[in-house]
Amino acid sequence: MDGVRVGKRIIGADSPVTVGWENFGRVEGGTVKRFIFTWFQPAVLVALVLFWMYAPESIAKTSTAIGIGIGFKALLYVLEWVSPRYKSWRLTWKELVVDLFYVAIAYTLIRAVGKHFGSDVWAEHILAAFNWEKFAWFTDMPLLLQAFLITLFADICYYWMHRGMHNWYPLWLTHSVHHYITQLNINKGSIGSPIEIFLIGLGIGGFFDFLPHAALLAGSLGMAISIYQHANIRFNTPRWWGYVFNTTEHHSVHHSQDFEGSRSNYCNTYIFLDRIFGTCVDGEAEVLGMEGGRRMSIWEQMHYPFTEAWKTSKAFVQRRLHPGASGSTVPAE
Amino acid sequence: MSSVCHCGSTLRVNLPLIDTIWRVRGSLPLDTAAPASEIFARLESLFEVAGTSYEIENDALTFRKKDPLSQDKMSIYKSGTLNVCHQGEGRSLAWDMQSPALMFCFCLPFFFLGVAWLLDESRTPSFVFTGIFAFLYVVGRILEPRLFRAELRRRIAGEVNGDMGAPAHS
Repeated sequence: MDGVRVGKRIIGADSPVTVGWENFGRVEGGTVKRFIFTWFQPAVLVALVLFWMYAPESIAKTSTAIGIGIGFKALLYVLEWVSPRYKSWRLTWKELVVDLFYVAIAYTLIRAVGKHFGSDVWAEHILAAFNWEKFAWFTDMPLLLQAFLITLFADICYYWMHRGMHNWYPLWLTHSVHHYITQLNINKGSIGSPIEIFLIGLGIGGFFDFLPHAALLAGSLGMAISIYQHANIRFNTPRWWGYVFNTTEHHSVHHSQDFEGSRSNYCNTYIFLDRIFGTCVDGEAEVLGMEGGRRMSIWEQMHYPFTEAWKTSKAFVQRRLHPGASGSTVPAE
Repeated sequence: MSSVCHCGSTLRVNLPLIDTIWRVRGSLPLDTAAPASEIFARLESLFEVAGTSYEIENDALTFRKKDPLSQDKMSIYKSGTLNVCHQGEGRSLAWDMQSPALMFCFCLPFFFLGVAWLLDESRTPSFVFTGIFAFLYVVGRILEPRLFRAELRRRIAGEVNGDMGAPAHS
């Protein structure tokens, strides 16, 4: 495979990656369907921003945000069925059960652990030490600007944590499990080693609870943009949207079997961060996964970071003890 | 040569009610005079997929799967046997398969009931997921065997050739 040069890198040399917006698949169907799947993402973003900006305090609360999130996911399931991006990613009963198992673990066990050891606890202690008067410049800004800055700060943190996961072996061990998925759908963001799900949950969650309305608007902004990244939905994504925001097309390149492709598009929300830091690839991919698309069972997903760490450590020690002996090394990716 | 249909009886430990949880049995009347080898040839593409090994001996096809791909039409099954059976005047294709995926889904409601019992703060989501997985088990136990049966019928009738619909993973 020849691949395509993007900046200094060759994308698609190991596995097929479609590079360039003009080469993407398009929504098939009538005028109404094409109109809906062109403007759906911007329309939802505008609707959610307006809702959270003007909703009275009595309904602008966390439970409303959770309800909207669950309802929106259900709607996206319908969109995956109406306009699938790839038939080879179609949802099966087994995929649904496995996906929901991880969603359930995140909502129950990992959330319970996070309450006692996660960022909520840190935030409580750190915020107690703040001098609030020094933050008046921030809280005096328009609500939408506050929300945007919160999401931007969160995404910069996410970008570097994610990029670190792809470049530092101990972090890669926990993140690699997520890269064994071979197809995308709305719940695939939950698939991965429970350790990684916990680490990602640490983030900066809880630090902005002192700005409840701005934090809810920020959460809504993030959801309206980044929720699509694992979706199997064919959109006619407007070019300007894909220039600014992360899309399902961008994220499929990140999950492709192509090594250089998988080291692209690290952001969660704002793809312009990847453009700034030189890791953006405007493309899409259908063939996903690791090791030629090998399927990893749930059991292996649970123990993989530990067993791989053990194998690598053992090999390292053996090389130190017997420097002359031949042995295979384990690459970071 | 086996001329008696022995599926679902004495091949494995017989737990007629309990093993229905993870074991799928069924049969399909054959309205073709084609020999068993021809019947299995029409089904072969179902088994010539990544992670699957199989062997055909006389009237029986035995398969085993390890980590089947997502789009494998038999991804919920781990092992099993398909037999061409002779019953009186007619013949049928009978199968007996084990599904760890069904077993896993069956256990999940109990697991999340346990989580609800242990973790007071996760009680509500745990109960919600208990209900979801119980519902999904019933759906899967009814739907998946029907889909498999329909797939066999289409392939034996010659309506499907080869393609499993999955991308070309190496």
